[in-house]
Amino acid sequence: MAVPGGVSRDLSSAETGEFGAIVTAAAHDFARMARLILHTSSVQNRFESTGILTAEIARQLAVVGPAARASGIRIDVRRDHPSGRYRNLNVDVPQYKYGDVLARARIRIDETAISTGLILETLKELPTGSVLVPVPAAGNVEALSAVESPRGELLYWVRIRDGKIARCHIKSPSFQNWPALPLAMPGNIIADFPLINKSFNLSYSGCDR
Amino acid sequence: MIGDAVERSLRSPKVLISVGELLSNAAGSRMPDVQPDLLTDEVARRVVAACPTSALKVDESAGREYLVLNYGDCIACSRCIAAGSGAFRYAERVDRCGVRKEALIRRWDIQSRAEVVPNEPSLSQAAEQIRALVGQALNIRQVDAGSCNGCEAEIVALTNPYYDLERFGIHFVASPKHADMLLVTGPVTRNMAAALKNAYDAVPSPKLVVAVGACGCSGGIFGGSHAVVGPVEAVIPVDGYIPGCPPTPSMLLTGILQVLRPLSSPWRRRRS
Repeated sequence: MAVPGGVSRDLSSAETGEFGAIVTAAAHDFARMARLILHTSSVQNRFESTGILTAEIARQLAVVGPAARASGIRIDVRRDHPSGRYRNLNVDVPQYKYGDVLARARIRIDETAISTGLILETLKELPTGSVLVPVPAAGNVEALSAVESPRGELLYWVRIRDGKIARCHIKSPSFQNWPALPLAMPGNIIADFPLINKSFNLSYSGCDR
Repeated sequence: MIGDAVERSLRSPKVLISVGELLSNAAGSRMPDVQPDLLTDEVARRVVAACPTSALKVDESAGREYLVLNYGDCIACSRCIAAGSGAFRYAERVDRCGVRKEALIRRWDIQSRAEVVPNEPSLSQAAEQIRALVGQALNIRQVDAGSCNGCEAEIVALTNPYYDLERFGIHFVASPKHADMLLVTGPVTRNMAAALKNAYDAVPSPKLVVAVGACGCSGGIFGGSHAVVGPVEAVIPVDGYIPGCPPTPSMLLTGILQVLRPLSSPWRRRRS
């Protein structure tokens, strides 16, 4: 579990191996399912040209994450503003130009394979040593940080006063992407609303932060 | 290709958790349990100092010292397990799901190294009552009142083929107007308080409310924030509490069924 100063406990090499095996097996199953889905004609019929978010609108609303990359905007915090380990990793950022449900599905399928590669590569090069360092009680500071979450750019702003968190603001990718959802709807049949909605994978919890 | 997949799926062995395995199963929840025979005064003070949410306390009454563990405050951070030198371990079962608030609290007499609690309901008894419930239908509306999405992820898992909530006649519905029970997660943020009250008012009577997770039970790590008005009981009446951060699907289902248990149970719900 991540805690201030690191993680609460280290992994043994046996656990690392087991974790790698689980990730590999899950990625393999996922790839098989994904192939099945993309090769099914009824799915193609539903996904293709449904819920198109144009690159122009996506850019105007500053859409982030897989939804942006499916509309031809190649952005990824891990590649564009790398920190920590991402400075030494080559993050492949896929992109599709159509902006429909199919493109958003394909982006996630591609990214699952890419993420699996990143996890396995990182497990191989896991450094030894302490996993938790004491964090000095900061006096009065403010900090801003962005990471690439599965839904896109996740931004945290924290203000510390007298060593305690006084204010914290989170801008989640769901908050950023929600306004784009209605603009992907016009011209689609009502029955496709849930499909388009889910293709953006927005989180209610993420929006109210 | 679809045909192949269906055929494969029909051939594969059925994977479904049995009722016996499911009930009170807290594996993976990281909730703590106490080995009373290893409990000492020193261990008690150490774990109380390690607990970031004051879920663990030492309580003195009538000259005796008790270690008090309130599952409703516990955020499953594992610090007591690291600090407890063997006296604390991960709970394999947590019965305190869907119970009234006082029943989330466990007490151990530190001197005699024994737990002070009413008798726990046996699993077979609970399983029997579930059998009695099968065939009835319960409709649940889930309300996210500012949760981190952790509880939602576990609630969604209830509907998968492994936990298969629908075998108990329980369904999630899309409107509070169709619901018998509200399953409320989150500490109730200022922004969600009015919506939660409206959702409660829209549920036809009789209705049940279950508060889910450390946030729903006590406000969790967000309690006391300027953005929070909860916990759930501060906004609407609550019939049962499911602790955990987040609770596992097994704990959720145990809690939902526990709330429906007849009034003869020692863990019966009581609206205060």
